Amino acid sequence: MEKTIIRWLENRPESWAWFFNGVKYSKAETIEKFKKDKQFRKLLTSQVYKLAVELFEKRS
Amino acid sequence: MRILAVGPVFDDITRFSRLWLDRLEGSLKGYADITDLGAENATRENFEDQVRKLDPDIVVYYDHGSQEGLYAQGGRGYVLDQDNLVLVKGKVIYTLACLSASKLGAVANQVYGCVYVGYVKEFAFTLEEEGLFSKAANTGLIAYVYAGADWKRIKELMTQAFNQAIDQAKDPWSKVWLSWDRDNLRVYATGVDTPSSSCVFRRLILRILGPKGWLLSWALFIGLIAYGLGIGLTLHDLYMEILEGPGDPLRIHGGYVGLGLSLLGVLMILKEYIRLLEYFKHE
Repeated sequence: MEKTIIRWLENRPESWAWFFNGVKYSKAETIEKFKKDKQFRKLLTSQVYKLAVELFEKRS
Repeated sequence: MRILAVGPVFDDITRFSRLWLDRLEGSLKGYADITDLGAENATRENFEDQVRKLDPDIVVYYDHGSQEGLYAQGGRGYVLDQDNLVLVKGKVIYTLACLSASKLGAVANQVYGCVYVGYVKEFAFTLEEEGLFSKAANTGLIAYVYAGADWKRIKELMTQAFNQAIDQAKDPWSKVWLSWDRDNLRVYATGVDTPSSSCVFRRLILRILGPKGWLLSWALFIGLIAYGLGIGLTLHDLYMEILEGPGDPLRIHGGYVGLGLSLLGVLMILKEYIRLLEYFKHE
């Protein structure tokens, strides 16, 4: 899952950005945060799992 | 219905929150009497003046926040925190500020009887699909102003709006953070969400004192510990001096450290006491 997320992030255009907790993150900053910040990595992967389960349940 | 809107602008994110606030005000035009503080005037003093002058039914705040408060223009201090919450007693506070529902919102609702719509964790959005986030976040207040105060229904509508946005989003990153924002949305109103704390001490205090337990802060707790430790150290040093005779007054005594700690503790307790007095004065 983590490798998939990093691959997906690497394929974003350079202009890609998002905002979290009052900070703007570019593509490179997001990849760096995902690799270095364990808490953020855990938060993101658990939310991805949660959403995946939700989407499966909704579709069924 | 009178609305006081606050939207400081001082960085990339606040330019978006300002845009979202403008969209919200556009949707409410003709349905509510809106006074916008304006970006540059979004200071604590101006906010307090306008609350006193207008006595708004709703305070809308779109910008950065923390557990302790909602930031003023330039990020210098807060326009609203525990110290001036009494001014908005019983009003509706609608915000998308990060983290504010976890503490400020809890105090606003449990102690001052406000309805608080906010987020317990960080608010996130993506640049490409910011419109979806904006639409979902604005839904609650539009529903309140258009249709009246059924907060349970408003929470349902907001959740539906976030779910719709998740379906419409093309970017999986947007979908993930829309679901994150939706999960962290809280509507503190009767019969909807009730504030809770993950801190064991806070839960214990709430059990003992009831909702007023939200008023007590860590500063009071740390102040009490510092005072207790300081007094203990001083008494221990005094006891040793009596047993062993007076030592060199120029060396660092435990008593000096103890006196310093207890003084620090007293100052912290005093600051909290003054803050609590302010609350009980308005009770």
